[in-house]
Amino acid sequence: MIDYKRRSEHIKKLYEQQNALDESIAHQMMSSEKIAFATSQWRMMWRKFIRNRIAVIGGIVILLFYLTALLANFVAPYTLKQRMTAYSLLSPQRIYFFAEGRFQPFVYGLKGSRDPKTLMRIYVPDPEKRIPIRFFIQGEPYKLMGLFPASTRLFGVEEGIVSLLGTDGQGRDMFSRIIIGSQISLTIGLVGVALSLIIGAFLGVSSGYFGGWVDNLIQRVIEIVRSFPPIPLWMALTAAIPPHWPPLRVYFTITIILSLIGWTWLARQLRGKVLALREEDFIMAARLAGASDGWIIFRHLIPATLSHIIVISTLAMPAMILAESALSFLGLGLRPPLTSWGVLLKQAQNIQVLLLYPWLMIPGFFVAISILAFNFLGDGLRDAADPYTV
Amino acid sequence: MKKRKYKVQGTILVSLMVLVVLTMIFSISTMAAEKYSEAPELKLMVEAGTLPKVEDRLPENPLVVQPIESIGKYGGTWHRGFTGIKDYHAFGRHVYEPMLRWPQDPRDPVQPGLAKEWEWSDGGKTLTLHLREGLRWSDGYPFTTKDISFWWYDIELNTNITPAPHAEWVIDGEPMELEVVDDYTIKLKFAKPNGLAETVGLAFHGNQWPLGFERFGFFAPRHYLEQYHPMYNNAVDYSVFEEKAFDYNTERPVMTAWKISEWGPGATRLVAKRNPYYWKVDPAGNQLPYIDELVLTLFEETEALNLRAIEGGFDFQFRRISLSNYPAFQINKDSYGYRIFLWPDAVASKLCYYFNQSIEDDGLRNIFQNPKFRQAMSVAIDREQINEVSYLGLGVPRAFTVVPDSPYFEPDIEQFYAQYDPALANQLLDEIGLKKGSDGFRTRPDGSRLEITVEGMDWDKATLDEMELVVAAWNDVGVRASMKTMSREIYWIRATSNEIQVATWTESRAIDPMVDPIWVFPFDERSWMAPAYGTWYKSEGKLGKEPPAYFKEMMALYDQYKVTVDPDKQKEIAKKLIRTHAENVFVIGTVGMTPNVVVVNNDFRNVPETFTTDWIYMAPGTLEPCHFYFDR
Repeated sequence: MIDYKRRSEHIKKLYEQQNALDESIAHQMMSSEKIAFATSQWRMMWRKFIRNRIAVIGGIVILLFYLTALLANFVAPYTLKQRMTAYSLLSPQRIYFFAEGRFQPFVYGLKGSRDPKTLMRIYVPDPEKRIPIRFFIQGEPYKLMGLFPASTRLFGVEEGIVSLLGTDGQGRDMFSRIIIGSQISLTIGLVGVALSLIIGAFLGVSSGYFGGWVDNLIQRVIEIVRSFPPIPLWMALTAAIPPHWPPLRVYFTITIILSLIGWTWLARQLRGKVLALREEDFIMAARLAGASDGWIIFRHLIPATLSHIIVISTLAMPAMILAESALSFLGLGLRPPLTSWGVLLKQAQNIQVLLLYPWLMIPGFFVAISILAFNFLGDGLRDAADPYTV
Repeated sequence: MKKRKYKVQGTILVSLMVLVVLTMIFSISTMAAEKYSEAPELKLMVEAGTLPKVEDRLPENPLVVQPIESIGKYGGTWHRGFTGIKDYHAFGRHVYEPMLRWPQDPRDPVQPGLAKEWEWSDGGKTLTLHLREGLRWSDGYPFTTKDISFWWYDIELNTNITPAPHAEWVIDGEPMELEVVDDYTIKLKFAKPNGLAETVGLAFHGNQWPLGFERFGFFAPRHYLEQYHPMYNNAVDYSVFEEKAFDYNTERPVMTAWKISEWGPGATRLVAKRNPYYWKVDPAGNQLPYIDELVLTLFEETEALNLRAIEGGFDFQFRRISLSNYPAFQINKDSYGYRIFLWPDAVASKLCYYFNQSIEDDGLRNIFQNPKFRQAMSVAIDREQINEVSYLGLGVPRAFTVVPDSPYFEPDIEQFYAQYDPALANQLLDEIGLKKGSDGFRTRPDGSRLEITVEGMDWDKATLDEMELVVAAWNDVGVRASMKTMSREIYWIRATSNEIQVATWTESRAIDPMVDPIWVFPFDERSWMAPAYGTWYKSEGKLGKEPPAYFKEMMALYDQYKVTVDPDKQKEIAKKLIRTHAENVFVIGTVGMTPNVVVVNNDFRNVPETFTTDWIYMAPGTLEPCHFYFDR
């Protein structure tokens, strides 16, 4: 009788020794001049990634977006509740940067009235009245990141209005609404992808690793889920949300709905990857050495597919953001008083906006930019993670 | 101003009629044969022998329509848009032919329609109707009192079709009795004097049954429907009858100016063609209507419909045209060749707010039943701001009550608690024990959290903007409020089943609310100031909840109104009800009389520049759409 337990412990010890040895060699080689031969996989990916300019720009844009979302209340000059009805439907304001030859951003004061024929709001700048834009100005109180009470804002004016992207029908600043709306739009991507990642990674790896009826079952479920066209399926699921639920619960439910459908891509790709990996020698070795399934999955398979997971989730993010915007745009997702890019676009969904107030469609531009940035970043990461491309 | 115009027109009418009579006396019968003329297409059919002569198609004394601008020309297709089968009124209001007609000026009495004369006897317990002799259905079959008795016995009193007869025909629990005197005379007999018969029964509900989904009427084509009625034909069931009697059935005979000739499942447009037996003429004896056909294009989306209207795709329409698009219409009207009118809508308030006084929650109910609370909520609203933000400054900031065109209007009631006074609001709320906490929000008198939810439908952008402003205003005076919107189907069920705390609606009926007094007091489940009390009133105490005394008083007043035939006495009672309603702020209004944007093709004539629209009056039905014409 072979004592499997002792033997497996012995192999584990050997494995750890080997690891330690590898690391010390790598360390030695790195300290010497010959870096190229000893760089780790992650380092190689990084080097490849930063050579891809567009991907780097995408990454920076995304970082900026998330940073702004994090500090949204600080960056936005106004709160969601500030209605300046005297300035409703104001088109994006022109900002002047230099006054009397030195840097001093300002806007002109505005006189509002109605066009006697069309009854549209018109605003005439008053050249006599320059309103300087002040930085770190005291505004309406808010809670930074929902935690710290504060009232300092990045910029603002003491009188009149500063509105970089115009105002809506109720006189709310579009720039502030877009910035604050990004909190929901961007986090729905993050949270949704995280959820679908958990489901997808678990099911995908299990499917590929165990094979047989488990594989069959999971793959058929994936096919069923995928065979539904996504938009009608989302519509059906979100229509089932009771209308009297509080907004926050609706938000989380919609995130869950999106991720319940979004996990299939990840699961399928991981299955393929794992199908190839499980035939590799090191897996065979681990299995022969008596490692449990859990050990193999979590210690070998998931780390080996990690780069893949990152790439897929980066590429899944824009789909989530787009899904939220699409659903809200159709009036099935989030509803006011929640503010997201989709909600803002929904409000721009009429012909008078198209014909008369086109700046209310600017949230669409932000959706497009964030999605492009995510796609560029994802592409760059995929190229970097793939060892077969040069 | 308006009245004088009618008088002038009246004089013209009288002199014209005298002229016609004189001509008739001095000329012999050969002249009389040429008294009437008809559309060229009908003339061709007469010459071909497929249609009787116009004199034989018209009744003995056709209704003479006084033109708003001038006598018209035959021909043309009137293009309109609508949003589907549920949008029957987009067509139905243009072909509204009741027994008695609403006047063009709502302060005038009810006018003759299919019935030329009517008189009361027996102290208001008997009403005798005299039909025009020689009226014909659109298939040429005579229209007689049999078509009324068929409706009464086989539709209104048939519980398979109508669960219970309409309230105006059931006086003191007794359904009316019909006495058919001859083909053109019929007597309606009631247990007590019937004050609703003329206005509600014969004008509002006096049309051909069932008027789309409204399911009311006063007559139906017996000769056609009998063969599909299970009482007369064992081979069919009631679903067949409903289908055949329905307005969209292209085979069904009608009494209207145009008859639907093209419509069915999957159709993208509804076409209605001229009725050769229509019973109205202009003062020159031309048989109406002037316009050959109506074409209504189906739009899934109101936005698409508006876009089409901006491009000049419609000849005359105001239904589903949104006020927010007014600037776009003004910019485009000259290049596409149409005119824009602003017609005031008889809405007391474009959006109104009902605090549900019969809500299950005891604490909330006590608060909502307190008049001071509702007054506070009313003065907390800045109506001028709403008018500017949502209605281009074109509406009238006012309390929720009848409009100046109403016979029950008194100038002072329009401004009851309609001022913007947050200080007064705060003071009133403090007085009734809703104390403000450190967070700026008030609690209930027992110290627990006060939070109200305002619910509404998925309205258009302007209306949602207004709702958000009102909710923000209430939060500003410390009443924690939030809003929710949903689809009409879900919303309607929640509202009528007494589940909504604060309901909202865009309520018409502001000229003569007595016809259907749902906003005056809890009349039925649609009275969202207290749906459960309304149900109680409608079911005579069998269902719903028993209302408090102040509502019972109003219900008793309306009961009295129902059995009053004298118009002056009726008016007295109505005024009293309207005043009580306004003083108690049973419904909170914001901005009312918001205009309809009316798109009228430059060639399209006989449309007045101003006109107050109301759904009870089936606007623009009282303008006689049959005499609109194209000046080409």
